[in-house]
Amino acid sequence: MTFKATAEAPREGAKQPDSAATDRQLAEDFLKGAPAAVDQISLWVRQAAWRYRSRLPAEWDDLFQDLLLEVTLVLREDGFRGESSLRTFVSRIAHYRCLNRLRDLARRPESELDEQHAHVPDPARSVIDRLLEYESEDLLKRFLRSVSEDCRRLWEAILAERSYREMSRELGVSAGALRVRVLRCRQKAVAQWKEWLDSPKR
Amino acid sequence: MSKPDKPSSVNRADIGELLPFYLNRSLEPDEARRVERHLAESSAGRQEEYDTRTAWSLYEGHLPVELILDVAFDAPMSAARRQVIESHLAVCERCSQEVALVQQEDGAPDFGDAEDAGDRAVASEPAREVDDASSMAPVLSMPQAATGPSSQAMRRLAWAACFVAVVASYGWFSTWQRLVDARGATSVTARANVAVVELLPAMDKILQRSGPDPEAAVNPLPAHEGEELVLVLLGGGAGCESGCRVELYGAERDRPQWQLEGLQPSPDGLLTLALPVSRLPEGRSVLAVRDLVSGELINEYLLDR
Repeated sequence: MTFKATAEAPREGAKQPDSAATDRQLAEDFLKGAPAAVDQISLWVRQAAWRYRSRLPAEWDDLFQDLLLEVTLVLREDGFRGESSLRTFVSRIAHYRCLNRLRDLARRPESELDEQHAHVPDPARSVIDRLLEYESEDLLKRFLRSVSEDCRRLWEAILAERSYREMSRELGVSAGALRVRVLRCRQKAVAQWKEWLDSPKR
Repeated sequence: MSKPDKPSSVNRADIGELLPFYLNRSLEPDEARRVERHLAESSAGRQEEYDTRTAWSLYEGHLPVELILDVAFDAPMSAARRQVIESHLAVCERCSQEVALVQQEDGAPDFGDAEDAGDRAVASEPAREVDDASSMAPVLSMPQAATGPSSQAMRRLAWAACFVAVVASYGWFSTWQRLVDARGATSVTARANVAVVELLPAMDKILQRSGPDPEAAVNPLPAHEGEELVLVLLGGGAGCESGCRVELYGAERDRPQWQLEGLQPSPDGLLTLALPVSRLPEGRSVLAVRDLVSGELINEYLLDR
Protein backbone atom coordinates (compact mmCIF):
# COMPACT_ATOMS: atom_id res chain seq x y z
CA MET A 1 0.00 0.00 0.00
CA THR A 2 1.35 3.40 -0.83
CA PHE A 3 0.23 6.85 0.03
CA LYS A 4 0.81 9.75 -2.24
CA ALA A 5 0.81 13.31 -1.08
CA THR A 6 -0.88 15.55 -3.59
CA ALA A 7 -1.53 19.23 -3.80
CA GLU A 8 -2.46 20.82 -0.55
CA ALA A 9 -5.82 22.51 -0.84
CA PRO A 10 -5.47 26.29 -1.06
CA ARG A 11 -5.99 28.02 2.23
CA GLU A 12 -9.36 29.56 2.67
CA GLY A 13 -9.56 32.98 1.10
CA ALA A 14 -6.43 32.64 -0.99
CA LYS A 15 -6.71 33.88 -4.55
CA GLN A 16 -4.55 34.55 -7.58
CA PRO A 17 -5.01 38.12 -8.78
CA ASP A 18 -4.49 38.45 -12.50
CA SER A 19 -4.81 42.11 -13.33
CA ALA A 20 -3.67 45.52 -12.20
CA ALA A 21 -7.19 46.40 -11.07
CA THR A 22 -7.43 43.26 -8.99
CA ASP A 23 -4.02 44.03 -7.54
CA ARG A 24 -5.08 47.55 -6.58
CA GLN A 25 -8.19 46.20 -4.94
CA LEU A 26 -6.15 43.61 -3.11
CA ALA A 27 -3.75 46.29 -1.86
CA GLU A 28 -6.68 48.38 -0.62
CA ASP A 29 -8.25 45.38 1.08
CA PHE A 30 -4.92 44.57 2.70
CA LEU A 31 -4.69 48.07 4.17
CA LYS A 32 -8.24 47.71 5.48
CA GLY A 33 -7.24 44.46 7.14
CA ALA A 34 -9.48 42.18 5.08
CA PRO A 35 -8.47 38.65 6.15
CA ALA A 36 -8.27 37.19 2.64
CA ALA A 37 -6.02 40.02 1.40
CA VAL A 38 -3.84 39.88 4.50
CA ASP A 39 -3.60 36.13 4.06
CA GLN A 40 -2.59 36.42 0.41
CA ILE A 41 0.02 39.14 0.85
CA SER A 42 1.44 37.45 3.94
CA LEU A 43 1.84 34.31 1.86
CA TRP A 44 3.71 36.20 -0.87
CA VAL A 45 5.98 37.82 1.68
CA ARG A 46 6.69 34.49 3.32
CA GLN A 47 7.37 32.80 -0.01
CA ALA A 48 9.84 35.51 -0.99
CA ALA A 49 11.54 35.61 2.39
CA TRP A 50 11.62 31.88 3.10
CA ARG A 51 14.94 31.34 1.31
CA TYR A 52 16.63 33.68 3.78
CA ARG A 53 15.39 31.73 6.77
CA SER A 54 18.44 29.51 7.16
CA ARG A 55 20.71 32.53 6.80
CA LEU A 56 18.80 34.61 9.32
CA PRO A 57 17.56 31.94 11.76
CA ALA A 58 17.87 33.97 14.94
CA GLU A 59 15.68 36.78 13.73
CA TRP A 60 13.27 35.00 11.43
CA ASP A 61 10.07 35.69 13.37
CA ASP A 62 10.93 39.35 13.88
CA LEU A 63 12.00 39.65 10.27
CA PHE A 64 8.71 38.31 8.96
CA GLN A 65 6.78 40.78 11.10
CA ASP A 66 9.09 43.60 9.99
CA LEU A 67 8.48 42.71 6.37
CA LEU A 68 4.71 42.81 6.79
CA LEU A 69 5.05 46.16 8.54
CA GLU A 70 7.26 47.47 5.75
CA VAL A 71 4.80 46.34 3.08
CA THR A 72 1.99 48.04 5.01
CA LEU A 73 3.94 51.29 5.33
CA VAL A 74 4.98 51.35 1.69
CA LEU A 75 1.46 50.58 0.45
CA ARG A 76 -0.08 53.11 2.81
CA GLU A 77 2.32 55.99 2.19
CA ASP A 78 3.57 55.47 -1.35
CA GLY A 79 0.67 53.46 -2.68
CA PHE A 80 0.65 50.73 -5.29
CA ARG A 81 1.06 52.28 -8.73
CA GLY A 82 0.66 49.11 -10.74
CA GLU A 83 4.02 49.37 -12.53
CA SER A 84 4.50 45.70 -11.81
CA SER A 85 2.19 43.04 -10.44
CA LEU A 86 1.41 43.39 -6.75
CA ARG A 87 3.14 40.12 -6.13
CA THR A 88 6.36 41.35 -7.76
CA PHE A 89 6.03 44.61 -5.84
CA VAL A 90 5.62 42.83 -2.51
CA SER A 91 8.37 40.32 -3.29
CA ARG A 92 10.82 43.11 -4.12
CA ILE A 93 10.17 44.78 -0.80
CA ALA A 94 10.78 41.50 1.00
CA HIS A 95 13.94 40.73 -0.98
CA TYR A 96 15.24 44.27 -0.53
CA ARG A 97 14.88 44.08 3.23
CA CYS A 98 16.24 40.56 3.54
CA LEU A 99 19.29 41.21 1.38
CA ASN A 100 20.06 44.35 3.33
CA ARG A 101 19.72 42.39 6.56
CA LEU A 102 22.19 39.83 5.20
CA ARG A 103 24.57 42.58 4.19
CA ASP A 104 24.29 44.14 7.63
CA LEU A 105 25.35 40.83 9.13
CA ALA A 106 28.27 40.31 6.76
CA ARG A 107 30.70 43.13 7.38
CA ARG A 108 33.75 42.79 5.24
CA PRO A 109 37.28 43.01 6.59
CA GLU A 110 38.99 46.41 6.42
CA SER A 111 41.83 45.15 4.27
CA GLU A 112 39.39 44.50 1.44
CA LEU A 113 38.73 48.22 1.20
CA ASP A 114 42.31 49.13 0.53
CA GLU A 115 42.56 46.36 -2.02
CA GLN A 116 39.47 47.62 -3.75
CA HIS A 117 40.51 51.20 -4.07
CA ALA A 118 44.10 50.47 -4.95
CA HIS A 119 44.62 50.82 -8.66
CA VAL A 120 48.25 51.22 -9.50
CA PRO A 121 49.03 50.51 -13.15
CA ASP A 122 52.01 48.25 -13.64
CA PRO A 123 54.45 50.18 -15.86
CA ALA A 124 56.05 46.94 -17.03
CA ARG A 125 52.84 45.83 -18.78
CA SER A 126 52.22 46.71 -22.38
CA VAL A 127 49.78 49.39 -23.42
CA ILE A 128 47.57 46.72 -25.00
CA ASP A 129 47.53 44.66 -21.81
CA ARG A 130 46.59 47.70 -19.81
CA LEU A 131 43.91 48.61 -22.33
CA LEU A 132 42.46 45.10 -22.15
CA GLU A 133 42.52 45.22 -18.39
CA TYR A 134 40.74 48.58 -18.51
CA GLU A 135 38.07 47.22 -20.84
CA SER A 136 37.33 44.20 -18.64
CA GLU A 137 37.55 46.13 -15.39
CA ASP A 138 34.76 46.12 -12.86
CA LEU A 139 33.06 49.39 -13.79
CA LEU A 140 31.99 49.90 -10.21
CA LYS A 141 35.65 50.35 -9.31
CA ARG A 142 35.98 52.93 -12.06
CA PHE A 143 33.05 54.78 -10.57
CA LEU A 144 34.61 54.72 -7.12
CA ARG A 145 37.78 56.29 -8.46
CA SER A 146 35.68 59.16 -9.74
CA VAL A 147 34.46 59.92 -6.22
CA SER A 148 36.54 62.40 -4.24
CA GLU A 149 39.35 61.02 -2.14
CA ASP A 150 38.09 62.89 0.91
CA CYS A 151 34.67 61.27 0.68
CA ARG A 152 36.15 57.82 0.19
CA ARG A 153 38.26 58.20 3.30
CA LEU A 154 35.29 59.34 5.36
CA TRP A 155 33.16 56.43 4.23
CA GLU A 156 35.96 53.94 4.69
CA ALA A 157 35.96 54.95 8.34
CA ILE A 158 32.18 54.46 8.47
CA LEU A 159 32.44 51.03 6.87
CA ALA A 160 35.06 50.23 9.50
CA GLU A 161 32.34 50.90 12.10
CA ARG A 162 33.84 54.10 13.51
CA SER A 163 31.43 56.36 15.38
CA TYR A 164 31.00 59.98 14.39
CA ARG A 165 32.42 61.01 17.74
CA GLU A 166 35.62 59.07 17.10
CA MET A 167 35.91 60.42 13.59
CA SER A 168 35.32 64.01 14.65
CA ARG A 169 37.99 63.76 17.34
CA GLU A 170 40.51 62.33 14.89
CA LEU A 171 39.81 64.95 12.24
CA GLY A 172 39.61 67.80 14.75
CA VAL A 173 36.16 68.96 13.68
CA SER A 174 32.91 69.13 15.58
CA ALA A 175 30.62 66.10 15.52
CA GLY A 176 27.93 68.10 13.74
CA ALA A 177 30.30 69.29 11.03
CA LEU A 178 31.59 65.77 10.55
CA ARG A 179 28.09 64.38 10.13
CA VAL A 180 27.21 67.05 7.59
CA ARG A 181 30.34 66.23 5.59
CA VAL A 182 29.40 62.57 5.58
CA LEU A 183 25.89 63.42 4.47
CA ARG A 184 27.17 65.59 1.61
CA CYS A 185 29.49 62.80 0.49
CA ARG A 186 26.53 60.46 0.45
CA GLN A 187 24.39 62.89 -1.53
CA LYS A 188 27.15 63.57 -4.04
CA ALA A 189 27.94 59.89 -4.51
CA VAL A 190 24.31 58.90 -5.05
CA ALA A 191 23.63 61.78 -7.44
CA GLN A 192 26.83 61.05 -9.37
CA TRP A 193 25.98 57.34 -9.47
CA LYS A 194 22.49 57.92 -10.86
CA GLU A 195 23.90 60.05 -13.65
CA TRP A 196 26.88 57.77 -14.30
CA LEU A 197 25.02 54.46 -14.26
CA ASP A 198 23.03 55.05 -17.43
CA SER A 199 25.60 57.19 -19.18
CA PRO A 200 27.18 55.51 -22.23
CA LYS A 201 30.29 57.69 -21.85
CA ARG A 202 32.39 56.90 -18.83
CA MET B 1 27.70 76.70 15.50
CA SER B 2 27.83 72.93 15.43
CA LYS B 3 24.96 70.74 16.39
CA PRO B 4 24.94 69.06 19.78
CA ASP B 5 26.27 65.50 19.87
CA LYS B 6 22.99 64.10 21.16
CA PRO B 7 19.98 65.69 19.56
CA SER B 8 16.87 65.53 21.69
CA SER B 9 14.80 64.43 18.73
CA VAL B 10 15.50 63.23 15.22
CA ASN B 11 14.20 65.34 12.36
CA ARG B 12 14.61 64.77 8.65
CA ALA B 13 17.97 66.54 8.49
CA ASP B 14 19.30 64.62 11.45
CA ILE B 15 18.19 61.28 10.12
CA GLY B 16 20.31 61.66 6.99
CA GLU B 17 23.33 62.55 9.11
CA LEU B 18 22.81 59.76 11.61
CA LEU B 19 21.88 56.93 9.26
CA PRO B 20 25.44 56.00 8.19
CA PHE B 21 26.31 55.61 11.86
CA TYR B 22 23.07 53.77 12.55
CA LEU B 23 23.91 51.28 9.80
CA ASN B 24 27.45 50.79 11.11
CA ARG B 25 25.97 50.27 14.60
CA SER B 26 28.07 52.93 16.28
CA LEU B 27 25.23 55.12 17.58
CA GLU B 28 24.39 55.33 21.25
CA PRO B 29 21.37 53.16 22.11
CA ASP B 30 19.01 56.12 22.62
CA GLU B 31 20.09 57.66 19.32
CA ALA B 32 19.57 54.35 17.55
CA ARG B 33 16.10 54.04 19.05
CA ARG B 34 15.16 57.51 17.84
CA VAL B 35 16.38 56.70 14.35
CA GLU B 36 14.37 53.46 14.33
CA ARG B 37 11.27 55.28 15.50
CA HIS B 38 11.70 57.87 12.78
CA LEU B 39 12.19 55.22 10.13
CA ALA B 40 9.04 53.41 11.21
CA GLU B 41 6.96 56.55 11.06
CA SER B 42 8.25 58.50 8.09
CA SER B 43 8.40 57.67 4.40
CA ALA B 44 10.94 60.51 3.99
CA GLY B 45 13.10 58.76 6.55
CA ARG B 46 12.91 55.54 4.61
CA GLN B 47 13.97 57.36 1.44
CA GLU B 48 16.98 58.65 3.37
CA GLU B 49 17.71 55.10 4.45
CA TYR B 50 17.43 53.91 0.86
CA ASP B 51 19.93 56.55 -0.32
CA THR B 52 22.26 55.81 2.56
CA ARG B 53 22.23 52.11 1.79
CA THR B 54 22.90 52.88 -1.87
CA ALA B 55 25.91 55.01 -0.92
CA TRP B 56 27.06 52.37 1.54
CA SER B 57 27.01 49.70 -1.18
CA LEU B 58 28.90 51.91 -3.61
CA TYR B 59 31.62 52.89 -1.15
CA GLU B 60 31.83 49.24 -0.14
CA GLY B 61 32.36 48.30 -3.78
CA HIS B 62 29.16 46.29 -4.28
CA LEU B 63 26.06 46.78 -6.37
CA PRO B 64 23.19 48.47 -4.54
CA VAL B 65 20.51 45.93 -3.63
CA GLU B 66 18.08 47.61 -6.01
CA LEU B 67 20.27 46.58 -8.95
CA ILE B 68 20.61 43.05 -7.61
CA LEU B 69 16.81 42.87 -7.67
CA ASP B 70 16.62 44.40 -11.16
CA VAL B 71 18.87 41.63 -12.43
CA ALA B 72 17.13 38.86 -10.52
CA PHE B 73 13.69 40.01 -11.69
CA ASP B 74 14.87 40.54 -15.28
CA ALA B 75 13.81 44.17 -15.18
CA PRO B 76 14.32 46.07 -18.42
CA MET B 77 17.38 48.32 -18.26
CA SER B 78 19.64 50.42 -20.42
CA ALA B 79 22.65 48.86 -22.15
CA ALA B 80 24.98 51.10 -20.17
CA ARG B 81 23.50 49.96 -16.89
CA ARG B 82 23.65 46.35 -17.98
CA GLN B 83 27.34 46.74 -18.80
CA VAL B 84 28.10 48.06 -15.31
CA ILE B 85 26.21 45.22 -13.67
CA GLU B 86 27.74 42.50 -15.83
CA SER B 87 31.26 43.78 -15.32
CA HIS B 88 30.77 43.71 -11.58
CA LEU B 89 29.02 40.34 -11.38
CA ALA B 90 31.85 38.80 -13.37
CA VAL B 91 34.25 39.50 -10.52
CA CYS B 92 32.09 39.76 -7.40
CA GLU B 93 31.10 36.46 -5.86
CA ARG B 94 28.96 38.03 -3.16
CA CYS B 95 26.73 39.98 -5.54
CA SER B 96 26.46 36.95 -7.86
CA GLN B 97 25.37 34.83 -4.93
CA GLU B 98 22.77 37.40 -3.95
CA VAL B 99 21.31 37.35 -7.47
CA ALA B 100 21.19 33.55 -7.37
CA LEU B 101 19.55 33.65 -3.95
CA VAL B 102 16.77 35.95 -5.13
CA GLN B 103 16.26 33.77 -8.21
CA GLN B 104 15.80 30.62 -6.17
CA GLU B 105 12.38 29.08 -6.43
CA ASP B 106 9.94 29.97 -3.69
CA GLY B 107 9.97 27.45 -0.89
CA ALA B 108 7.57 28.44 1.88
CA PRO B 109 6.02 25.40 3.52
CA ASP B 110 2.33 26.06 3.46
CA PHE B 111 1.43 26.06 -0.16
CA GLY B 112 0.96 23.17 -2.51
CA ASP B 113 1.90 22.20 -6.02
CA ALA B 114 -0.81 24.21 -7.71
CA GLU B 115 0.17 27.42 -6.01
CA ASP B 116 3.81 26.57 -6.42
CA ALA B 117 3.43 26.46 -10.16
CA GLY B 118 1.72 29.83 -10.05
CA ASP B 119 4.50 31.22 -7.92
CA ARG B 120 7.15 30.24 -10.36
CA ALA B 121 5.23 31.77 -13.18
CA VAL B 122 4.90 35.06 -11.36
CA ALA B 123 8.45 35.03 -10.06
CA SER B 124 9.75 34.79 -13.59
CA GLU B 125 7.41 37.48 -14.79
CA PRO B 126 9.44 40.57 -15.75
CA ALA B 127 8.76 43.72 -13.81
CA ARG B 128 6.80 46.17 -15.89
CA GLU B 129 8.85 49.27 -15.20
CA VAL B 130 10.71 50.50 -18.29
CA ASP B 131 13.75 52.69 -17.92
CA ASP B 132 14.31 53.99 -21.41
CA ALA B 133 14.21 53.24 -25.11
CA SER B 134 17.09 50.81 -24.92
CA SER B 135 15.13 48.55 -22.62
CA MET B 136 14.70 45.98 -25.36
CA ALA B 137 18.28 44.85 -24.86
CA PRO B 138 18.69 41.08 -24.40
CA VAL B 139 18.27 39.60 -20.96
CA LEU B 140 21.40 39.87 -18.88
CA SER B 141 23.42 36.68 -18.96
CA MET B 142 24.47 35.60 -15.49
CA PRO B 143 27.82 34.01 -14.70
CA GLN B 144 27.36 30.24 -14.82
CA ALA B 145 29.13 29.66 -11.54
CA ALA B 146 26.68 31.83 -9.69
CA THR B 147 23.53 30.00 -10.68
CA GLY B 148 23.87 26.53 -12.16
CA PRO B 149 26.13 24.29 -10.10
CA SER B 150 25.29 25.78 -6.70
CA SER B 151 21.58 25.45 -7.40
CA GLN B 152 21.99 21.83 -8.52
CA ALA B 153 24.05 21.05 -5.46
CA MET B 154 21.35 22.49 -3.24
CA ARG B 155 18.73 20.34 -4.97
CA ARG B 156 20.82 17.21 -4.51
CA LEU B 157 21.34 18.13 -0.88
CA ALA B 158 17.61 18.65 -0.41
CA TRP B 159 16.79 15.26 -1.94
CA ALA B 160 19.41 13.60 0.23
CA ALA B 161 17.97 15.33 3.29
CA CYS B 162 14.47 14.10 2.32
CA PHE B 163 15.72 10.54 2.12
CA VAL B 164 17.56 10.77 5.44
CA ALA B 165 14.48 12.32 7.08
CA VAL B 166 12.26 9.43 5.94
CA VAL B 167 14.75 6.85 7.17
CA ALA B 168 15.20 8.68 10.45
CA SER B 169 11.43 8.96 10.93
CA TYR B 170 11.07 5.21 10.46
CA GLY B 171 13.89 4.56 12.92
CA TRP B 172 12.33 6.83 15.49
CA PHE B 173 8.95 5.16 15.10
CA SER B 174 10.50 1.70 15.42
CA THR B 175 12.32 2.78 18.58
CA TRP B 176 9.05 3.97 20.05
CA GLN B 177 7.44 0.64 19.24
CA ARG B 178 10.18 -1.29 20.99
CA LEU B 179 9.92 0.93 24.05
CA VAL B 180 6.16 0.41 24.28
CA ASP B 181 6.57 -3.32 23.85
CA ALA B 182 9.21 -3.50 26.56
CA ARG B 183 6.84 -1.85 29.02
CA GLY B 184 4.03 -4.23 28.11
CA ALA B 185 1.69 -1.31 27.64
CA THR B 186 0.34 -2.49 24.34
CA SER B 187 1.03 -4.91 21.59
CA VAL B 188 3.42 -4.02 18.85
CA THR B 189 2.03 -2.86 15.57
CA ALA B 190 3.55 -5.42 13.32
CA ARG B 191 3.86 -3.58 10.05
CA ALA B 192 4.04 0.13 10.30
CA ASN B 193 4.14 1.98 7.05
CA VAL B 194 5.76 5.34 6.91
CA ALA B 195 4.53 8.09 4.68
CA VAL B 196 5.81 11.58 4.71
CA VAL B 197 2.94 13.69 3.59
CA GLU B 198 4.80 16.95 3.66
CA LEU B 199 8.31 17.94 4.56
CA LEU B 200 9.31 21.42 5.45
CA PRO B 201 12.28 22.88 3.62
CA ALA B 202 14.03 23.26 6.99
CA MET B 203 15.37 19.73 6.85
CA ASP B 204 17.76 20.22 9.72
CA LYS B 205 14.83 20.78 12.07
CA ILE B 206 13.09 17.65 10.85
CA LEU B 207 16.21 15.58 11.28
CA GLN B 208 16.65 16.88 14.82
CA ARG B 209 13.07 16.05 15.63
CA SER B 210 13.19 12.66 14.01
CA GLY B 211 16.13 11.44 16.06
CA PRO B 212 15.92 8.89 18.87
CA ASP B 213 15.98 11.53 21.63
CA PRO B 214 12.63 11.07 23.47
CA GLU B 215 12.42 14.81 24.12
CA ALA B 216 12.57 15.42 20.40
CA ALA B 217 9.11 13.92 19.97
CA VAL B 218 6.65 16.74 19.58
CA ASN B 219 3.65 14.61 20.45
CA PRO B 220 3.58 11.13 21.90
CA LEU B 221 2.17 8.66 19.45
CA PRO B 222 -1.13 7.18 20.65
CA ALA B 223 -1.39 3.42 20.89
CA HIS B 224 -3.60 1.69 18.37
CA GLU B 225 -3.55 -1.90 19.42
CA GLY B 226 -3.00 -4.27 16.56
CA GLU B 227 -3.60 -1.60 13.99
CA GLU B 228 -1.50 -0.73 11.07
CA LEU B 229 -0.43 2.85 11.34
CA VAL B 230 0.88 5.45 9.05
CA LEU B 231 3.18 8.08 10.43
CA VAL B 232 2.25 11.44 9.09
CA LEU B 233 4.24 14.61 9.31
CA LEU B 234 2.27 17.73 8.56
CA GLY B 235 3.66 21.18 8.04
CA GLY B 236 1.67 24.34 8.56
CA GLY B 237 0.40 23.76 12.10
CA ALA B 238 1.88 27.03 13.33
CA GLY B 239 -1.52 28.71 13.32
CA CYS B 240 -2.87 26.57 16.18
CA GLU B 241 -2.63 28.94 19.10
CA SER B 242 -4.14 26.60 21.66
CA GLY B 243 -3.24 23.25 20.17
CA CYS B 244 -4.47 21.52 17.07
CA ARG B 245 -7.26 19.15 16.18
CA VAL B 246 -6.70 16.94 13.16
CA GLU B 247 -9.77 15.56 11.40
CA LEU B 248 -9.91 12.93 8.69
CA TYR B 249 -12.66 13.24 6.12
CA GLY B 250 -13.64 11.03 3.24
CA ALA B 251 -14.51 12.38 -0.17
CA GLU B 252 -17.99 13.37 1.00
CA ARG B 253 -16.65 15.58 3.80
CA ASP B 254 -19.90 15.31 5.73
CA ARG B 255 -18.46 14.26 9.09
CA PRO B 256 -14.96 13.36 10.28
CA GLN B 257 -14.19 9.67 10.18
CA TRP B 258 -11.39 10.02 12.69
CA GLN B 259 -9.97 12.84 14.73
CA LEU B 260 -7.22 13.55 17.19
CA GLU B 261 -7.25 16.48 19.59
CA GLY B 262 -4.65 18.32 21.61
CA LEU B 263 -1.74 18.07 19.22
CA GLN B 264 0.93 20.65 19.86
CA PRO B 265 2.90 21.84 16.85
CA SER B 266 6.66 22.14 17.07
CA PRO B 267 8.09 25.69 17.12
CA ASP B 268 8.25 25.69 13.34
CA GLY B 269 4.75 24.33 12.90
CA LEU B 270 5.31 20.60 12.35
CA LEU B 271 2.69 18.12 13.54
CA THR B 272 3.43 14.43 14.00
CA LEU B 273 0.61 11.92 14.21
CA ALA B 274 -0.02 8.23 13.81
CA LEU B 275 -3.05 7.56 11.65
CA PRO B 276 -4.79 4.18 11.77
CA VAL B 277 -4.78 2.85 8.26
CA SER B 278 -8.15 1.15 8.76
CA ARG B 279 -9.79 4.57 9.01
CA LEU B 280 -8.44 5.72 5.70
CA PRO B 281 -11.06 5.32 3.00
CA GLU B 282 -10.14 4.11 -0.45
CA GLY B 283 -9.48 6.91 -2.87
CA ARG B 284 -9.09 10.47 -1.74
CA SER B 285 -9.41 11.70 1.81
CA VAL B 286 -8.71 15.01 3.47
CA LEU B 287 -6.78 15.77 6.64
CA ALA B 288 -7.96 19.04 8.12
CA VAL B 289 -5.93 20.81 10.79
CA ARG B 290 -8.01 23.12 12.98
CA ASP B 291 -7.35 25.28 15.99
CA LEU B 292 -8.53 23.28 19.01
CA VAL B 293 -10.51 26.09 20.63
CA SER B 294 -11.71 28.30 17.81
CA GLY B 295 -12.15 25.49 15.29
CA GLU B 296 -10.60 27.71 12.63
CA LEU B 297 -9.29 25.80 9.65
CA ILE B 298 -5.51 26.15 9.54
CA ASN B 299 -4.57 23.84 6.67
CA GLU B 300 -5.82 20.96 4.62
CA TYR B 301 -3.92 18.06 3.10
CA LEU B 302 -5.08 15.61 0.47
CA LEU B 303 -4.29 11.92 0.77
CA ASP B 304 -4.68 9.36 -2.00
CA ARG B 305 -4.88 5.73 -1.07
